[in-house]
Amino acid sequence: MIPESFSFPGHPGGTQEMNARAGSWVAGALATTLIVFGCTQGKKATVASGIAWNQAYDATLTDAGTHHRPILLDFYTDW
Amino acid sequence: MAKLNAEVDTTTAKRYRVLGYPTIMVLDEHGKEIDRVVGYYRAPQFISQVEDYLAGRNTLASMVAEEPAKKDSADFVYRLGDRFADHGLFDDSRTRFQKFVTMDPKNTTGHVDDALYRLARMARKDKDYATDRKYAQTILDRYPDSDMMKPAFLEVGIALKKDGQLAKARTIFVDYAKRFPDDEDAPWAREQADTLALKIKQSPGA
Repeated sequence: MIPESFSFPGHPGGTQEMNARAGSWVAGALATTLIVFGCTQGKKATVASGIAWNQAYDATLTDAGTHHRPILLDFYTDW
Repeated sequence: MAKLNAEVDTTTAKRYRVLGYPTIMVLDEHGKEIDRVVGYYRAPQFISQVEDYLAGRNTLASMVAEEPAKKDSADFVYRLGDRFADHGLFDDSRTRFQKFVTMDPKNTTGHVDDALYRLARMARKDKDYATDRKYAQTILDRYPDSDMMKPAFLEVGIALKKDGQLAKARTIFVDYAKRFPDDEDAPWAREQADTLALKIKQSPGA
């Protein structure tokens, strides 16, 4: 399955590769995935979409172990 | 669910070999990776992937187990190479992409250009700039109408620059900006050309 778009460090400058196959993407994908996962508890930050995200890996791991739930870990950057 | 800035929590990002963004990891309750989704997908595709992973389907581990039975399927070999690359397992990825390129000389799958570009990038990562250039040039020669043509064009310039062949690299970037003046990467190519012009002036012969 080919991603709609993707970026990684060290790219020439640009967006060319990132957009090579880019189209619009659905920002709500992760939100919808809550249906699959449910939330783990811990240090949380509420974002516009209403998802309560943990922002600490250790707390997430502890919660997952306590509730016997899998973890969805979203790595992002600000740039 | 957790949202981590990989540039801040570098320890966790390194632990899971996160190489690009977004990377969504699906972990078991102990923190062991089940698999990952790399890049943006539409919601139905994304959910389908995550559901598959949770059910043990289409994971890298399951694909590796399937490989002996599917080793003659070009599409499968390509997807396996792609998955290894997503996981940062570049040696494994390289061997599959190299095999894939030979399996599909007519590019019936439509992915040979992608595989060649991935091979070029892996060569750059290994500082093997001659090989980097070779793969990128192959895209230009064989697949000039490919959507990977422009990235490959730039990759040739980058490989030359990294290899210290500054004058040749500058020529590539100048050429890119001339050929595609309205392209979104044209300003970057011009900037590269200008920077290289200065460096060449400072160290003639480069």
